[in-house]
Amino acid sequence: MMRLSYQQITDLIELTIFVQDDTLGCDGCLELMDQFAQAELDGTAIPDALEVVRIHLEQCKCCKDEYEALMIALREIQ
Amino acid sequence: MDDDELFTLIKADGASRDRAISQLRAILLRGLGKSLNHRYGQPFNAEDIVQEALMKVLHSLDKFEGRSKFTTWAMTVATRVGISALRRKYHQDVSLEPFSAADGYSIEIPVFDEPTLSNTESRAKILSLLQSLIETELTDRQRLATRAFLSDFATDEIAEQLNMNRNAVYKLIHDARRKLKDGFERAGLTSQAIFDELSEGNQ
Repeated sequence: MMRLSYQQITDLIELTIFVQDDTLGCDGCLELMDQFAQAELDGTAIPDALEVVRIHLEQCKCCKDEYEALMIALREIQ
Repeated sequence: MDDDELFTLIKADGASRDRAISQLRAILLRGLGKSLNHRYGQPFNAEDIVQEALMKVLHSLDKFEGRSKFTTWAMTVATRVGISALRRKYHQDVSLEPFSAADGYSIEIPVFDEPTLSNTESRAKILSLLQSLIETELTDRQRLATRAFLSDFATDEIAEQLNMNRNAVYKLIHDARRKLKDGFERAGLTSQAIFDELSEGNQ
């Protein structure tokens, strides 16, 4: 039996109460991430069609980590 | 060489293509060198990771549709390759206990002494219900994926261990979260009520 730590319980509760409907998934997020990043880099409004990316990034820690790393890299090469 | 020219030359043949690839490699090296160094506590071998990322970009060129700048797209592909490589190294020496079937993938929510999540009656009720929902609502695979995720395994690493794709693992965990939330709501506990209760205890 895996006994959760205090931090793991907190994480699980946060994962539970903040869950939102997400139609995109990780593969879909990767396909649209460059457009989403480009809009943020250019300082333009995020198009409605890319709102699903924002929702997925709020739901998926792995994609969020990748997006944050991507923005660091893109700002470095600008 | 601007973005459009870089893409055009990389798609072409000849010496100019080699120069363009060298330029793209330098761009990826600079970007990933900044973004991935020390990530996941891993020593960063930029040369190896950039070479792997560059190969992935070159093999995926037909997927570039021009909806962002070429370098933005290439860096997006390269970042996923680079981070995945770092995650693999990070988990090489990590215990695979969350994946063990020996305990039926069970999860225990213990009772803590102060400072605790369970030091009031209402918080104890939340945790007791959470334990019950985990046992009654989640499938074996959902419990397995959830406890691996809570043990800091990334979704793509869990996918590799379970021989699934990352998207499927993400959905497995997402559905588990949804089931737990629905279970709380059926018991009359809204997300806001749970959040308020836990926030109060952390003040």
